[in-house]
Amino acid sequence: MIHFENYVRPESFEEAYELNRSFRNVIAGGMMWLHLSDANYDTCIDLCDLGLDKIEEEEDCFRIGAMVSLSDVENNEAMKECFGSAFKDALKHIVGVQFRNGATIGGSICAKLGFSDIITMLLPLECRLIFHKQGEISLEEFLSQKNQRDILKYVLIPKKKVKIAFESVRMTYTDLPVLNVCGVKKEDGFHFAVGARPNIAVLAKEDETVSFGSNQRGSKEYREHLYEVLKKRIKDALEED
Amino acid sequence: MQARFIINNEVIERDIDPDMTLQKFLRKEGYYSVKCGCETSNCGACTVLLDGKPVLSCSTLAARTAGHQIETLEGLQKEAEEIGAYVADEGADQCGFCNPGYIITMIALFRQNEDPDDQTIREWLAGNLCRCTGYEGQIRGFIKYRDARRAG
Ligand SMILES: Cc1cc2nc3c(=O)[nH]c(=O)nc-3n(C[C@H](O)[C@H](O)[C@H](O)COP(=O)(O)OP(=O)(O)OC[C@H]3O[C@@H](n4cnc5c(N)ncnc54)[C@H](O)[C@@H]3O)c2cc1C
Ligand code: FES
Ligand code: FES
Repeated sequence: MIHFENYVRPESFEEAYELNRSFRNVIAGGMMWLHLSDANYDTCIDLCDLGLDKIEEEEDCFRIGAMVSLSDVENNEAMKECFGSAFKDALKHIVGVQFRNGATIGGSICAKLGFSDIITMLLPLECRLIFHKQGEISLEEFLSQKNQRDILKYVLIPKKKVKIAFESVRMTYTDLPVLNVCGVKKEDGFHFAVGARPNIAVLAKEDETVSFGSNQRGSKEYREHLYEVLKKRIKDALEED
Repeated sequence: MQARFIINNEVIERDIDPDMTLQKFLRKEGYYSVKCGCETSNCGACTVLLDGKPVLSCSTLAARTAGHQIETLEGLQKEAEEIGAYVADEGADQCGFCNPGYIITMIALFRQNEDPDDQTIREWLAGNLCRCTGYEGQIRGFIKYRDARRAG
């Protein structure tokens, strides 16, 4: 289990950023992933007093604070209206209601987990991230960066009326995914994000090649096969009505 | 660090380790309905209510919960007995270790949604693992509890 000597709730982003410059300190999102680590830190930086727990609907996007729980993302009525059941479909397999009440969207992005359903869901929506120092960057750019030790403040999801569908394959309802795929239909055809390859999710057009690997959940060959299956299911869903 | 906690409507002030989990803290205070199952956010045995929402106390920092409303099954005895009776009628408990996590999660669901459908009940229980049973007994019990409420 994780250990630290001090617990601090910064009163400003600059204070949080300065504390986080040191490798001896760590930011806490929901702590769901972090608490499994064996590391020893000096200070745990809790962002809970910085007003990052709201989902705001703006004219062209949803602005989601980094500390918003996965449950609040899943159940937000305005987001359901815009994206249908896609967020629920992507999040409902993540452990359980209790877990999703604790895990945050910021921690789920910043952990950069290869199997992340959330990252796979957000990629084709052209989601953008606002960091304290770097400012606004795309999720895709963030995934390719080395650790900048920056503070994620907001996740921006454009309110474009796109048709979107999410599919995953798991051994049991709440197990980690063997493969997850999210697809959108645009004017130039279908675009997919593919995660749990088992590496971090990537974007690909319908005819582009995606590279897969093996781990204990599935072989490279099985994932290649599943990708075709999930692509077909998603295309069928997007072409339905 | 010194912190003020509200547990089952009782306010207490304690000196805690900054990295202590809510689960460890509550058990130290004698709230043994909060079980130590996996301690890796997987099983739901440590579920408590935080500001009315079910959360995993093994993965929640005690320090963060200071000043918030914490509820454990010790403070929810009447509701727990009422729902638990339906689970017992279905013979759903074997060792019973998972039971507090199940019951408190269902208390939270029925507070939020007076008449959940079967699918919602199943979805809310997806994060509660039981090593003894096949889950169906608990689910039958909660559905029958819902039906009894419907019938008034
Ligand atoms: C048992 C288990 C099963 C899981 N199953 C799934 C699954 O099936 N699908 C899935 O998609 N995910 C799964 N996850 C991952 C989960 O969804 C969360 O993504 C993960 O727990 C992180 O969320 P958190 O808020 O708890 O972040 P934390 O654990 O608190 O933090 C994660 C990382 O992000 C950093 N961080 C947090 N917030 C910020 C911020 N604002 N700015 C900068 N850095 C920050 C932290 O320092 C840490 O390095 C699982 C996790 C566990 C423990
Ligand atoms: S003990 Fe907390 S989820 Fe298992
Ligand atoms: S009855 Fe034994 S773990 Fe559920």
